[in-house]
Parts: sequence; C-alpha cells; structure tokens
Amino acid sequence: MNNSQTPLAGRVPAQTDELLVVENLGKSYGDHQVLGDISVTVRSGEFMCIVGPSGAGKTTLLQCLSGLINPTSGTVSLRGKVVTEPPAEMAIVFQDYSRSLMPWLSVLDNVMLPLRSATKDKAERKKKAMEALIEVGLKDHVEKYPWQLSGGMQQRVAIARALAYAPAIVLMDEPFASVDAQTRGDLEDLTLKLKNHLGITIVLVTHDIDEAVYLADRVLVLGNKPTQVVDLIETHLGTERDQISTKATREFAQLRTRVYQEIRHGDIPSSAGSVAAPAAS
Amino acid sequence: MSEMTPKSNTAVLAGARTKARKGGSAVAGRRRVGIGPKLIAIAGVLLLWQLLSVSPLVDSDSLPAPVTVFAALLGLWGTGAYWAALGTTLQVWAIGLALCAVIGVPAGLLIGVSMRATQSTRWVIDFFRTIPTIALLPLVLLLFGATSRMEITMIVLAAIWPLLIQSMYAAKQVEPLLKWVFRVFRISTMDRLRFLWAPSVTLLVSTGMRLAATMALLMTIAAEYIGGAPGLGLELSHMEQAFKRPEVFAYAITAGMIGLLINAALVLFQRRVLWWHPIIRGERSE
Ligand SMILES: Nc1ncnc2c1ncn2[C@@H]1O[C@H](COP(=O)(O)OP(=O)(O)OP(=O)(O)O)[C@@H](O)[C@H]1O
Ligand SMILES: [Mg+2]
Repeated sequence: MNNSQTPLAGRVPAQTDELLVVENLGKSYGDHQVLGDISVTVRSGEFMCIVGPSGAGKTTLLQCLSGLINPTSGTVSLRGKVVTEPPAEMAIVFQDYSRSLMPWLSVLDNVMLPLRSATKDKAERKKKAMEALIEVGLKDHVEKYPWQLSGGMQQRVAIARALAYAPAIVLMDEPFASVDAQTRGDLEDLTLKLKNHLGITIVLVTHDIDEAVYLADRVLVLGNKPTQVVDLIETHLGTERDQISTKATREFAQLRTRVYQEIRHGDIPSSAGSVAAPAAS
Repeated sequence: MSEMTPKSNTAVLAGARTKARKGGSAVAGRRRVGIGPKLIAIAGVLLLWQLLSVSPLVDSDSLPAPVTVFAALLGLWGTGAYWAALGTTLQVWAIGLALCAVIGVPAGLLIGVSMRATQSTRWVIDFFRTIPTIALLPLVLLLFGATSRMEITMIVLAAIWPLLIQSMYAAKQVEPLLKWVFRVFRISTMDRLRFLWAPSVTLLVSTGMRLAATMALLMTIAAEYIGGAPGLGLELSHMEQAFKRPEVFAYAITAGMIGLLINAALVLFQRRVLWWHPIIRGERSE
C-alpha cells in the first residue's frame, strides 16, 4: 500500500522520513475483530488524515498508535521503538474537549501541567505554556477556567496543551466534530498553520471527507470488515490552503469524489485510479 | 465574563464563593435558600412546640415549653459539668471520626479502584453496614467497659460505612478520559494523585464525611447514654433520672446544635474547595 508518488519538493526531510511505522496491525475485542491487517507509515512532518465509515475502527486505530491500548497482533513503532505506552514525543487531542480538560485548573494550569516532569523551573513552564496559548489565540483567557470558555476555545486549550508539550507527533481523534461549522473552519486553519509553523507531524481522524482532503498531505481511507487500508492518497494541494479557494479547485473536487466512492464501496473504484493530479497552485 | 477572571491562582480559592455565586447565580438562586426562610422555619417549629406544650394534649411535665428549656440551657451554660461533658463528647467524636476517615477513605478508594475488589467485598460490606450497630453495644461494653475506647469502637463500627462506600464510588467516577490524558502526557504518580485523584474524589468523600460525622455524633451520644461513658449522653441520662425534663431537652438541643454546626462547616468546606465543580456551581445536576 505504500504510496510511491514523489513527495512535494522540499517538504519532507529526507533522512527522517519514517516517523511512525504500523506493521500488520490487528485488533479484536473478544471475538469481534475490528482491525484486520493494517500497515502504513507516517512520514515525519506530514499531515495524515484517516477517514472511514463509522465503526470502522478509526478511534481504535488511533488508540493503538498511541499505546493507550495494545493491538492483538502486529506492531506500532515510533522512530524504530515499539510503542507499548504513550511515548514522550507524542501528544493527543481528544474529541471530547469538555471531558479532557481539568475543570479545577485554570487554562494556563491545564497547559502547564504536562510540563511538570520535564521542565522543573516554573517560570520556564509558564513561558512555554504562554507561547502555546498565544499561538492558538487564547492570550487573554489564560486565567479563566475551561468551563467559562466556548467549545471552540476549549478545544484550542487542548491543542495548546499538546503544542506546549513539544511533541514530534500529535494524534487527533475527530477534534472538531463537536463545534459549529464556522469554528470548525477556523480550527482547521489554525491546525494547518501550527503544523506548517512548527513542523510537527499530525495524524487526524475525521469522518468529514472535505475536512480530510482539505487538511491532509495524505488521506488514509479505511474500509471493509474487518478493517483494512482501502487507499492512501497523496493530495498535492500544497502548503497554503484556503477554505474557499482550495475547496473550489477541480483537484479538491476530484479528491473528495474519490474518497467518497472509496468509503461508500469499501474499495478503489476503477475509474478513480488517475484522478489525483498535482495541484496547480 | 471579565469580572469572573481571578487575579492570580492563589486568589482563586479565596474568591471562590463569590465567583461561584456570580457564575451560577441564576440557577443556584433557585436551589439555594437564603437565611430568612430558614429562620422562619425554626420559628415555626418553636411556635408549634410552644402551642403543643401548653395544650391539654400533652402534660407539661413530659413536654416542657421551649422557654423553660432555653432557660434550663442558659442555666447549664453556667455549670462546669455542661462544658466538660461537651468537651469530652466532641473530643471522643473527633477521634472516632478521624479514625473512620483514616481507615475508611483509603480502604474505600483502594477497593473502588479495583472492579474485582468491589465485587468480592460487596456482600461483606452490605452485611456489616446493615447491622444495627447499637445491638453490638453490650458486646463492646463487655470488652472495654464504659470508656472512650468503647465509644470510639462503636463510632467506627457505625460511621465507617458511609465513608467507605462513598469513597468506593468516588474512586469509580474519576473521569476515564482524564486518566488517559494523564497517561498520554506521562504525568508522574505524585502529580496524578495531586492533580487528578484528589480533586476528582473530594466531592463524594466529603459527602461521606458529612454522613459519617452525623452518624458518629449520634453514636457517641448513644454510647454515653446507654453505655455510661462520660459526656453529653451521660449527663442527659443523669438529668432524666433526676426528673429534670427541661435539662434533658437542653442537652438534646445541644446535640442538635453541634450536628448543625458540623454540617454547616463541612458544607462551607465543600463550597470553598469545590467551587469549580458543576454540582457546586449549580450549573447542571448529575
Ligand atoms: N472497548 C471496546 N470494547 C468492545 N468493542 C469496542 C470497544 N471499543 C470499540 N469497540 C468496537 O470496535 C468497533 C470500532 O469502534 P471505533 O470506535 O474504533 O470506530 P470508529 O471508526 O472510531 O467509529 P466512529 O466514526 O463512529 O467514531 C465498533 O464496532 C465498536 O463497537
Ligand atoms: Mg471514533
């Protein structure tokens, strides 16, 4: 399944190409086999979106990638080391922001807490946390409590918490699913901007095909039962994306049609093979 | 929103009450009743009592009028015996309750963390907490005599159950997603206890404390009254034997007032420490 198309020029550092390697990953709950046999490699610095029908096991896959749950078969390794517990270079943004933040800590303290073991100096911790909070545009809300913020703002706190932790890779499970459309667009653009600024690798699960194509360097399509990799599509939409103009391009439309058909049929449609042409811009 | 922003982290707890009030006042006002109606309710009870005591329904020797009882109470306040008894009772109560907390909270939390431990201890706990502890008094009395050790044993036997059970529930309702967040960010065990477990279990554990405090007080006085250990209960029993009805009621009222104060203190503690909690904020009830 490894895609052999050439990466965008200058985007991917050659020597550290393979960051997270998934080999023959399978996961069963009792007799119920959720993930069949998944192999995929996440490249350093890329934005990978995972899409698939509901119940396909996207969340399960992400939990296996992070070491929060153990796969039934196969391995996940980060920079060559097998993942059994969440690695230090990894952060996660969960979908349910209202439950993933601590209501008894202020926004700033929520972001500072994960830094306690690595950064002993409190002033230093605060500086790092503030930088992340400024990055996500919450400079004026750091002393508030999560429950005093809107949903979109709460999710930005969760993103800031992940950023301040300075991970090499961030996993996100439908991070924008519970916010309104406008906020969702803003958060998507914020995430893209952060990824480009900071050079972190992002793996994001979504069931919104537009979102997947808009954000991703590569889209991983899951399907079939038990779940397999249906396709891995290089988007070639470039670094600079715009909610209106990017989504209006022919390439974007072709990509979303292709992903849509693959999800619907659980297979690569015969006509879709040559659709993804490099973006003009 | 801006008036809700605390100035610094240390000011947070101090400003908590006002903030919580402001934040959830619309809803909280509906649930929290001010002091006025409470005083009216007390006045109503006193009036009813007064009417009942002067009515021909009860004879005034068995039910003295409130005025008489409060006169007796004032009289008792002038005696050393009253204050000594009060001091002894409170001391024994505090030791007994502390023992309940020291045993019940950690045990409850540990049992609650493990599904297995919860299931295997369920019958034992349900059995022991249903036993009317007062029935064990003769046995405990035989072991320790009319001493504070007897009282403390009785207190623990009676009051540890609500604490144990509340602590078990407390351990179970720690948000699983937050446990994952702490794992993902590899937060140390000490910090996990401090920043996840302590805040998460405080509401239920302190509610258990409230229940246990009341039960412990009841048991202290009962053990003194029936078992003859020194304290308010014994004084009450002496007064009864001397047919001093107003004094009997005065001691009973003393016990009621202690209970009231203890509960008020614990509620205040909860509001101070848990001001961030949705239930305390009154935004949503769970
Ligand atoms: N802890 C669990 N125990 C048993 N079965 C589980 C568990 N977690 C998930 N499953 C099952 O695994 C399958 C995949 O679930 P998962 O949540 O990974 O799907 P998903 O692709 O994330 O779906 P959605 O798009 O709805 O979020 C489902 O059939 C679900 O019932
Ligand atoms: Mg899911």
